[in-house]
Amino acid sequence: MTSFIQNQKGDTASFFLKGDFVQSNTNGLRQALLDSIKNGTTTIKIDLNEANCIDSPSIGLLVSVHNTLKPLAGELIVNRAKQPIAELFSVLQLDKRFKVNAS
Amino acid sequence: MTLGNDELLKEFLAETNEQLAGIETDLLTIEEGGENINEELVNKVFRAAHSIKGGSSLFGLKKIQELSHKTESVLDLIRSRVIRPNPEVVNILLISFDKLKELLNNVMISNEMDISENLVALTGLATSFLPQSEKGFFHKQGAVKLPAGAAVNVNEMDLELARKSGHYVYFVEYDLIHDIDMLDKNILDVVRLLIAFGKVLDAQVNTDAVGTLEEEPSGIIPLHVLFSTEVGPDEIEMVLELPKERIKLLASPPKDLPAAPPPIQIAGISPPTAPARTEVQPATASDKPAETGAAATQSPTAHPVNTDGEKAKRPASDQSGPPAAAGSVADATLRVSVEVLETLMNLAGELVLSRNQLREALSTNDMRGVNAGSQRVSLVTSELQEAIMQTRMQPIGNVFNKFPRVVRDMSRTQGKEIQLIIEGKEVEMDKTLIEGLNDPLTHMIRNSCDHGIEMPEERIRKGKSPTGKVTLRAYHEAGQVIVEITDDGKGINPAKISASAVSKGLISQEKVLGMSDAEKTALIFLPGLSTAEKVSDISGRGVGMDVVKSNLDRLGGKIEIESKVDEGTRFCIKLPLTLAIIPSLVVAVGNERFAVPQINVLELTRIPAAQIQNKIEIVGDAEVLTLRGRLIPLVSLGRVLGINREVVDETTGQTLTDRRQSLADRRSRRSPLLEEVAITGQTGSEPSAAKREADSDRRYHAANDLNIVIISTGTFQYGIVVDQFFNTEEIVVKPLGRHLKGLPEYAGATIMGDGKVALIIDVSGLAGKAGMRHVSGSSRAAVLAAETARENRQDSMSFLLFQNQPGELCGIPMEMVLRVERIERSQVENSAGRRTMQYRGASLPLITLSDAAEVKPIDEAQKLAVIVSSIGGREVGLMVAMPVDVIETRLQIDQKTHRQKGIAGSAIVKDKTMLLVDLVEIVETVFPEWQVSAGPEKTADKAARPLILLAEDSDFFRGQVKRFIESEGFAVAEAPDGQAAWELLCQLGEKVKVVVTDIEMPRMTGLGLARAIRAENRFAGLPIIGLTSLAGEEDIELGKAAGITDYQIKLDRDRLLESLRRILPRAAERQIEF
Repeated sequence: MTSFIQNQKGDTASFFLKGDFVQSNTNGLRQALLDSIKNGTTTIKIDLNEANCIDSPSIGLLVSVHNTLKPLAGELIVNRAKQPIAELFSVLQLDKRFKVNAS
Repeated sequence: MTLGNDELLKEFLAETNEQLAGIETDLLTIEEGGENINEELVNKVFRAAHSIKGGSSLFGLKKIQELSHKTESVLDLIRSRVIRPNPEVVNILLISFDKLKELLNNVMISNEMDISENLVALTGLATSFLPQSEKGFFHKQGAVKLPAGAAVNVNEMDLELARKSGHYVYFVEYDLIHDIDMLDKNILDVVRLLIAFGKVLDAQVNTDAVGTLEEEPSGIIPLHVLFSTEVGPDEIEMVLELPKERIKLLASPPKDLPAAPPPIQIAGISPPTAPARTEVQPATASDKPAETGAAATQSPTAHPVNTDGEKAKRPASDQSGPPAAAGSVADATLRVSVEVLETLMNLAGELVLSRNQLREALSTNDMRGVNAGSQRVSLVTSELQEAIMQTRMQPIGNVFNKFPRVVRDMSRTQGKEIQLIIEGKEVEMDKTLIEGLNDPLTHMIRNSCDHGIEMPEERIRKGKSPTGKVTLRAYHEAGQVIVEITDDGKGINPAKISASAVSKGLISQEKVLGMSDAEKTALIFLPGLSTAEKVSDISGRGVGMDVVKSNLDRLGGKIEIESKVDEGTRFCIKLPLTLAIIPSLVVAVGNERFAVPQINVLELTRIPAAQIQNKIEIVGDAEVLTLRGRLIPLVSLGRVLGINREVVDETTGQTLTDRRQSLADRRSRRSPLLEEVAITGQTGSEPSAAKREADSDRRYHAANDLNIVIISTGTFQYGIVVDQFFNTEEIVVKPLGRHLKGLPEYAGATIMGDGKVALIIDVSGLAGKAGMRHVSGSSRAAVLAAETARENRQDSMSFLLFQNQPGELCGIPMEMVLRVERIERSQVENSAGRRTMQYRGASLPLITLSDAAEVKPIDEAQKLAVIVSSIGGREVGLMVAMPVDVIETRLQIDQKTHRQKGIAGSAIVKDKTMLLVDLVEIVETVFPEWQVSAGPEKTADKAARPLILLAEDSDFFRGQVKRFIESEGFAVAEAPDGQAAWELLCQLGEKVKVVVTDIEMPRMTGLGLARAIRAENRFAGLPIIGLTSLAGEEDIELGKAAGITDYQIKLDRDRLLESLRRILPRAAERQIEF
């Protein structure tokens, strides 16, 4: 069972996470993200509306997406991050690396 | 910008408003304290800046974050006693907080707003207080020595501030995978822990070490943190649960640092115990359960954490910020205490139970149950209403708190010394009212400081303290909130106000002449009036007080002014407690009901149909009610709103449409609507006798009594004529729909008990619609009042009545009478052809009317009385027949029909002819040797006779007084009213030595004449003697205020002449050329 829904529109790919943003719940997401970028996606949107928490590998995954898109002049946008997660991004200053929209 | 969640943002803004509410007062207190820094207060302000910084970062509000950060830094320097909070420092902080408020009020565009000036000021402030060696810290980035490869950075200023706050600064190196994930910790908990124990100065994930998606996950995610905390090097490993080599101490607090203030709660990521945040807890097994957080808060540091629950219990005075700008996000929120919410819940439960009870009773037709149920519903509804109203109540201090700053700033810019005293901050009012009060109060406080309080030198010259005092006071009175603004400044000069109003064409000179000082002062509410000699950035642009008035009108309030030149001014604002539910009088016109706010209702009066013609006058084009000596302009509600009034035809019992255009449809010459005979339907023709009788019946029917609501708008009064009065009810105010918004005569609508809608009358709007304005209405009322008073008082005098012969009624003005003594015939002595009596140890000469006039001698068989009077400085007794009586009446005096020696004229009293006795002439006849009148011959040269200008509208009195004056050797120029006297005086100029004037006269009153004279330099020093038949203390005071030199009673010849003799030498230098 997939833990995310992917939606492609032009060169933008949106990923809606079903549940928390933790390693155990994101099987296949890393590969899907990579494939999408390889297929020409330059904007990745990850919707965290259902995520109540985030773990370290997932932070690593976001950083990797950012690192991959950066040379392509692409953009990573995290949407609907719940307050604690948005705050975490702010404290770690990750919101200066990619766009974070709080829910 | 990451403005995402509207609710969260609203919460943040509401919280921020609360925090900023008392900041100004706190900063001013800090400023007053000077070097004696109140740490608790500085911490409070610091906390506000800090929380704003935290919250704004969450929403991506960069400018707010940056400005609050710099502000916080300066406050930290004050807290650390590096900076002394002198007025300049506090000024910069106040301006910074102003800017923060501006940014927060425009949160959506705040990131585009310019804050560079504030940043420069704050940075300059911080650096200027630092020792030379430390300057540059504020900007200096990267100067701190960090371990190799460290991704974090910090400016030295923040580092220094942390040290001076008693903090250690550590460089902490995490690996998110090995130190957190693999140890079954959660990154969120780790960050919470850091925040609970200190402050994250900077944190950076080393993104380069993570790699791209194409690379295999590196297995490490380095996170570098610059961490500032009170926790010392010995305990830090234990707290952070990291090996020693991952934590490097960068800076320690100075050894001589005083005890550190308590740490600050950060509004962003809250410590683990913060209840509001616990609702979003990590839910998976992989996450660290909540115990970690709990353990963290139970640390020995025991930081005081302000939980939401605690906030809810705070007193209302600590809650809520100043009214935010219109349309700002925070406007829509209101903090309500948990206690009030619980009460509401309980009452809601009670209501449900009552409904059930009622429903049950209805279903079983149990009328007792229905009654009990409805009573219960009524009771619970009242309590519910009260509890809900409580949620809207806020302390007026929320508005008052801004004024210390306003007054301080104005004192500084204007070089004045002003002390502001605030009383009654705790008085609670509806939130809407408090917000609506903000602008009017600000304007009035600024006016008091700008126009009211004088410069210190001027105050000293006037014998006042150099420090001016402005008092702002709120209190409850009779279910209203009273707000007073009092200053001890120069007061409002009514003459200056009225002159300004006239010069600007806002009002005519004639109107002003008839105005009292209070009415002139009220002219400041006219749009476009300003007496400021120069326009400043504060006031003097001629806008303001009219806006204040209209704003207060909108709030259902009233404003009154009292002012005394050089003593000060007091504004009194009366406001309802709330606008949502107001007590109102319900009235009806035709089939329509209307609500009149009780606050505007002075009294209700019903004029019986039979008295309408007497009580209601038509003066000019206005109908006025005479009510206890006052004239109240009337407005027919039906006529203004276009609703037909109804009358009951007594003969048929039919209800007919009242088509009269005049309330006092008296069919008299006075009515301009004389020919309006709509009731009879015979326009322009003489109605038949039968018809006339029917008319009379109909008009005098009890159902056609006039019901009048006497209204006060605060600056003037008027009456609203309605068909019916109902009860006073508490009505729920509903705003008017868009299509009715533009109608000024309505303030809203309400739904009555029967489900029908009643419109709420806006009393000022209705007056405006009816053609009245507050000031013009007032002046018109004044003119009408003067006119009626004149009518009432014209020739209204007290007369002593007696009979010379049975049926021969005579009278003497009471002013001429010293005493009345009953005598026996035997007391009268006849010697040397003269009658006398022994009286008070002397011989009192006695006279009778027949000694001079052609009347029958007194019937000495009757009981006799002697009227003692003083003529020419000697007492004389007029023998009359008993009984004697006193009347006070208005008389039309006929000076011709019965005029003869000893009789000045006649008048009709009680359907009889009264002969007006002229005592002076009788004495002159009987005792010519007394030389009562010096006569014109006394002064040989007519041209040398001093000229007296006499203004008197009554021919009789004018003739009498003229005779007195001329008899004393003066020349008299006569004028039949004030206006004529003024014109004559302008022609005669300095020839006039004294003006003797009646008070109540048409066209221009005596007071108006006196004011006009006093307003002209060329008549400076011209004595004015006021003549009145009613010289009460109030009249005398009014006269003096208008410029009258002396007051004398009409027809008191001796005193008038004495006054003239006393006054004339002062005007002796005036050249006589008459």
